[in-house]
Amino acid sequence: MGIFATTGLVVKIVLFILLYFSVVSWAIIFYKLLQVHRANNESVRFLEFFWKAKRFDAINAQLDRFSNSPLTVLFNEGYGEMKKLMEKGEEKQDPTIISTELGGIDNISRALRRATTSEITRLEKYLTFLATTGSTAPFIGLFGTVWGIMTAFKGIGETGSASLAVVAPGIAEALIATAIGLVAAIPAVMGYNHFQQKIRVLIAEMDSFSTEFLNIVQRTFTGK
Amino acid sequence: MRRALKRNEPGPGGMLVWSFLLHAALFFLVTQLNILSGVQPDNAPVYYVDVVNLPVARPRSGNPAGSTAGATEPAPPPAAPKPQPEEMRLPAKTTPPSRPKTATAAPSVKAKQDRQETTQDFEERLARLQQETESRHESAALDALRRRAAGRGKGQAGMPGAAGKEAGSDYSSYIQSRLKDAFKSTITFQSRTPEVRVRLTIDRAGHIVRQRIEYSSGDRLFEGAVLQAIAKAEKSFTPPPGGQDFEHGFVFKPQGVGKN
Repeated sequence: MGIFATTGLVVKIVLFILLYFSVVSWAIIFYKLLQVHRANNESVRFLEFFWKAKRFDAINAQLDRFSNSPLTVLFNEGYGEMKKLMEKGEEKQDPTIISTELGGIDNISRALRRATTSEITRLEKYLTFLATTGSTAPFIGLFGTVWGIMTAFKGIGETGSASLAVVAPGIAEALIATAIGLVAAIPAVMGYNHFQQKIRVLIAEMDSFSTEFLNIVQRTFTGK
Repeated sequence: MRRALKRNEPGPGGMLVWSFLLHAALFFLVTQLNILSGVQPDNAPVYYVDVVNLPVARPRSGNPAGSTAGATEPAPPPAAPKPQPEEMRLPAKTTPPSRPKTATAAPSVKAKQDRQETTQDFEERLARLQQETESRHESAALDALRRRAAGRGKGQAGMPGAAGKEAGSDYSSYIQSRLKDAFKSTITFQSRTPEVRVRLTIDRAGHIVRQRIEYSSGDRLFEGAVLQAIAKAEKSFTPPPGGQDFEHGFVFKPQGVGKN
């Protein structure tokens, strides 16, 4: 406690900034852990359910059970678009055939792509803060240290006494800033890399699910 | 139809509270376990040596000064100094390290004076001389101890048991030296000429019961260093003599600690 109390104003400001970075990045890490964990789990369960179900209506009725999975959102968007096209087909006396006049399957594909993009955005939200913390916190800490050492040396210059007893406490206090900068940065970098990898897997799953969904729609409803 | 999905995940705001709690707990742990205390320079322990003043032999007579000191001394020295032979004047014989010198110096002097002396006689005399020197040291040391014991029974190990009149032996000087030692390890300051005057009140058990900053040049860092030094020095304080409370002002400057 004493070592924090005796630091200079600039070092104190630096420490507070680093504390802010650390608190927010840990909050993001907790939030993302929960979000990605749920997305992964529910995606696995949703895929099982999807392949077992016979009808899209049945899947659609159960969507709320897997609401945290990005695949659910994709299915919801794709199914919604398909319904609209079927309604168009109904007007033209054949309810089972999706209208291909305006490129029906392309419509669904576009809807799926849009949903994928919005889900990637949702999953990657706040991750930039982790990247920023990881790259800037050590430098902010270093700035605090350099400033603290500058003050310590200024003190030596003014008094002319250069004993270790005079210099060492100032430098020790200054080095605390670098230490806290690293403490803030290391979990942020680790968290960022971890979530990037997990999100990449989820994106791959979304892509393959989109392809599968389009295949099923094309096979079943357009008769191709 | 497309519908909105109901998601049940907590927002990042809730996590912010958890994160803050985690940091508070960590900070508490670090400060409680004093993990960062190792960062501060930790000096080697200071040992205080109580110097016993052995009486100095008078060059003329060779008698220890202590043996002639006042009539108040209760007991006579056990081995009373005898009239010394002529050659005993030469060697310095008051301190233990000089004893071997006595042994080596004596023969050389003697050799010059009396070349006819046989080796056997010489050895006998040397042994006698050594015995005499030792007995004189013993008596002097005993004398000093006796005087200490008889004079001031309240004296404490590690500090002079004097009445406070001898130079450097009063309690305030004792406290000053402890403060000075502690201050060396805590001193830090920002301003050019920092100064802090503190008045300390020490109870009969040797604990600081009150400390008041009477004057400060306004350097917060320096004030902190002074207070740290006082807290550090307090551990080595002994109770003031006479079983009374002690109060004194001290001036802290970057050059050291002085009495107010």
